[in-house]
Amino acid sequence: MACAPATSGPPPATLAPTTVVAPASLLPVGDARASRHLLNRFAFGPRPGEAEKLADTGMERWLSEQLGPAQPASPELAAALSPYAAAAQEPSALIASWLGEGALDEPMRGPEFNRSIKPYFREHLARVALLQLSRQVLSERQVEEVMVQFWLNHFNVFAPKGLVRVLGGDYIERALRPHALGRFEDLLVATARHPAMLIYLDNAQSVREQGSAEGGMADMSASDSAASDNTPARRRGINENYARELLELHTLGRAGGYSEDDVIATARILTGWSIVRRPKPGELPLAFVFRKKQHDSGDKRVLGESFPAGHGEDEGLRLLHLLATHASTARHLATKLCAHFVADEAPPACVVDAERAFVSSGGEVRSVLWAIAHSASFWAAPGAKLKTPLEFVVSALRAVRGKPDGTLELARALRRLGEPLLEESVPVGYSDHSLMWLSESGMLARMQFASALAFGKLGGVSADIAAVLPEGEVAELARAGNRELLGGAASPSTLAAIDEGLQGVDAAATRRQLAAAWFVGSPEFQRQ
Amino acid sequence: MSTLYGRRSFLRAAGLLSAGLTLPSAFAAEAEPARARRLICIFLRGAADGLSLVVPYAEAAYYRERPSIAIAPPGKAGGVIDLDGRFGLHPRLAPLKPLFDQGSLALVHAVGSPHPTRSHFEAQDYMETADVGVRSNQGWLARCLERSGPHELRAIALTDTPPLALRGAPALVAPRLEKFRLKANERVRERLERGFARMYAGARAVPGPALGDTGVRALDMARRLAALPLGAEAGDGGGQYPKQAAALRELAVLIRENVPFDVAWLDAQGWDTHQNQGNADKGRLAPLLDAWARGLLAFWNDLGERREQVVVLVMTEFGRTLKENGTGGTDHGHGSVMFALGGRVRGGRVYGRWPGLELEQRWEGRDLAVTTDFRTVFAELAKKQLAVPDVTTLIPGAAAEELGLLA
Repeated sequence: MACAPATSGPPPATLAPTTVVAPASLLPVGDARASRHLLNRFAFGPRPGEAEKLADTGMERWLSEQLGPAQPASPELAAALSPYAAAAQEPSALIASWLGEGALDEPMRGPEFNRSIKPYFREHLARVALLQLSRQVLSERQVEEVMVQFWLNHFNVFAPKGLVRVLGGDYIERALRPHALGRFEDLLVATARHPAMLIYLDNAQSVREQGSAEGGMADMSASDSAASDNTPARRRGINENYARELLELHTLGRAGGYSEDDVIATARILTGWSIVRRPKPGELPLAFVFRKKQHDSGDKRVLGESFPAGHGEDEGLRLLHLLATHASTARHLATKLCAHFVADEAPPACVVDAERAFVSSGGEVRSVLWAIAHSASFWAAPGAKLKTPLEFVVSALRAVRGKPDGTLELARALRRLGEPLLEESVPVGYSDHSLMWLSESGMLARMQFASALAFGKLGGVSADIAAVLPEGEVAELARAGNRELLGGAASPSTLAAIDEGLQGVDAAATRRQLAAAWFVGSPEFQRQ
Repeated sequence: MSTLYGRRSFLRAAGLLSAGLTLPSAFAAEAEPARARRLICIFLRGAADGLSLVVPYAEAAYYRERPSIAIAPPGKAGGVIDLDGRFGLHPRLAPLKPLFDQGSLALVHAVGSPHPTRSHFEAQDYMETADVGVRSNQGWLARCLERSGPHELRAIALTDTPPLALRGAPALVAPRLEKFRLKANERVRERLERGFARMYAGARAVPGPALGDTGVRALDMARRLAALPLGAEAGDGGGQYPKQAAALRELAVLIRENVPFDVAWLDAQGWDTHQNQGNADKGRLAPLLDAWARGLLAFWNDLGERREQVVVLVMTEFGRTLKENGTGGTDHGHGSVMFALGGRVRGGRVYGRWPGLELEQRWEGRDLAVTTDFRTVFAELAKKQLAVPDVTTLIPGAAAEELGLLA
C-alpha cells in the first residue's frame, strides 16, 4: 500500500507528490466508472464527458496536475469570477468602499459599526458565496476547491459575528486558499492569525489575568499600546474559546490526549494575539497584531512541554508548531480526511496510509490526498456517501453545464438547502457526514432544486440543458440522461420510473425538463 | 449499521412500504386525544448560563464573581423575579412566571452531566444519547420510541438536520412544516411527485445512507401536511410567536389538529455567550430569553385543554463559569438548569439539591456543581410521558429515585 519512503524531516513544500508516496500504478486505468468516482470525491463531480475523457488521458496524470503548482486562471474562469471580485477585497478596502475613505480612522464601536454596514453586509456575504460557488463549478483546480471547502469547515468561522462580517472573503482567499494543498502548519498559523478567527473564537479579546506576569514594558511598540486601543481597562482575563477549539477541533482532536490545564495554558500563551481596531500610522485596520502588554508572559506548560517566561509572540508560534506536528494531530486529520474522501466511518487502512503520509511529508496536505486516492478503501467506496447540499448544488450545475449568471440569487438556494456559506455558528463547521444531511426536508429540497433547475425556474443560473439532454422520444431521453447525468449508474427502478412518468407527455420540451428534474433529483445523483 | 439506517422496520410496520403510491392523504387523527402523551424537547445549543436564567440571588459569591453581568436581586432595578426566596427568574423570562405560579412550570437547578467535558459537541452528544462517556450513534429518544406505543408519526424535528437524540428513529425533519411541498403547478407537481416517489421506493434496498426511505417519507409527509391549516393565520390561539419560536406555532397546530406524534424536537441557537453576555436588558442573553419566553407562553395559550398531553423539556449541554471572563461573558462551565412545562407537571418549585457557589462548593473550584444527573430527569419523562417500560436498562446511570416532576 501507499508506503512512504522514510525521510528525515519534512520534504520541501514543492516536492512533487509522486516522490513522497505510492507507486503510480494503483489508480485504475481506462475505466470511466472509476474516473467518475475520482471526480465525485476529488472534484465537485464530472461535467458531461469528463469522466470518459479522464479514463482515456489517465487519472494518475490528472491527480498529479491537480496537486501540483497552480496555473493562472483561464480567461473563461476569470470572466465568470469578475462579477464577484469585490468579495475578495481586503477588509479595509471593502469598508472604505462602503463607508468612504477614512471610515476606519475613527474608533469603531461594535453596535454602531454593525448598524452602519448593515445595508451592505448581506449582499457581501452572498457575493462571497457566489465567488466560491463559481470557482467550484468552473475552476480546473478542482482538488484545491474541494480542499478550500474542507478547510473552511475544519477552521470554521461564522460571518454574522461582529467584524467577521467583513472578513470572511479575505479569510478564504488569504488564509485558506494559499495553503489548501500545502503544509498544514502554514494553514494553522494563517488561521490562528487571521482576524476572522481571532474574532470568531474571541481570542482577540483574550488578555492576561490581572496579577499575572505582564509583557515587558521596554518592548512596547506603537501597535502595542493596549490601553488606548479600544480595549477598556476593566476588561481583563483570558477567554478559553479559541484555545479549546484549537486543541479539540483544529489539531489534536477530542481524544487527542490533552487536559483542562493544557487548554488554559494554551489560552495564556495566545493572550495578546489580537487585531488592530484603531490603526496608527503605518498600520492596517483589522490586521493581526501581537500586543505584548496583554500577553501573559509567565511560565506555561502544554502537553508536557515547557514554555518558559518571556518569549512573547514566539510562544504561540512554537505552540502551533508543537500542535501541527503532534502525533494526535496526524491521526485526527488523517481520520477526518478519510471520512471526507472515502466513507463516513473512516476505513482504518486508509487512515493508516493517510497518517503515514502526513507524518513522513511533514504535514503536506497534497501528500495525504495522494495517499488516500491510492488506498484500496477509496476505490471500494463509490456511492458510499451522500453529497452535502453544497456538493449537490455544485455537481448539479456541473452536470448540466450550468454556472452562476452574475447575480447573487444562487446564495438563496444554498440557504434553502441548509448550507449557506460562512453561516454555521458552531466551531465544528458543516458536517460532511451522510447522516447529518439525510432528512425528509433535505430530500424534498433537493427534488425541488432539481425541478427548478430543469424547468428554468432556478434564479441565478445560466444553464443549457438542451446541450446535455437533446429532445427526443421517451426511451432516447432516458438513455441519454442516464449516460450524461448519472454515468450509466441509474437503477432499473429509476429508469422505469422515468420511463413511465414520461408516457403521455406530448410536449417534447416538457419531456426533457421532466427527465432532467428526475435524473438530477434521483437517489443515484445524491450519492457519491 | 442497523441502528443507523433503521427506519425500514418502522415503515414496514406502519404499512408505508407496501402502500407505495396509494398513501392516505391526511394523518389519521389521534384515536383518544385525552390519553395522548407528547414530549417536546427544546435544546439550548451552546451552553445556556443557568445562573442567569434562574438566578441564585441569595448567593454572595454570585455577585462577587460577576461584577458586570450579575442580575440584581428582586426589587432592584433590572432585578430578578423572585420564585422562592432563593432563586429568581431572569426579568426577560417574566412571561413564564404565571405558569410557575399556577404550578405548570417546574425548574431543576444544578442539573447536568457527570462527565467533566467542557466541549460543546461532546457534551451535546452525551446528552442526546444519554450514554455518558461513550461514543454512540443512537439517540435516547430514538431508543425510547423503539419501545413505546405505535404512533404513525413518531417524532418531528423542527430542525435543519436530524438531532442525534432522534438518530435511528423514524422522524420527520423539517425546519418549517408549512413550506414542506414541491413547488410547481398542480399538474406538473403531481407528475414529478409520482416519478420521484417511484424511484425513491425503488432505492430502499440500496445499502448505505437510507435515501430511499427518506425520499418516500418526504413525499408522503408533504402530501399529508398540505392538508393541515399550517398558515400563520392558523396560530390564532391568542399567541404571538417571535420569529425564533415560529416552529412552536406549527407544533401547536399539529396538537390542536390531533395529529398523532410522540416526540418533537426544537433547537435554540446562540447561547454560547463568551462575550457581551449582558444582564437584564443589554447584551446577548436578554433578547434570546425574551423571544423564547414569549414563544413558550404563546404555545401554552394555544394548547388550551390539550396542555394535559404535553410536557415541554428545555435543556442545555452544560452551564457556564460562575466567574465572568475578560470580555463581559462567561466560559464553558458545568451545572446548569432545566425547565419542565406541562399540564401534568408538578410545578411551582425549583427541584434539585443546591450545592452553593462558594469556592469549596464549586466543581473544580470554578463551576456550579451538578447534583442532579440529567439522565434522572430523562428517565422519569421516558417512563411517565413516553410509557417506556424498562427505563433503567434504556437510560443507564439514572438515579433510582426520581424527582417527581410529573404526577
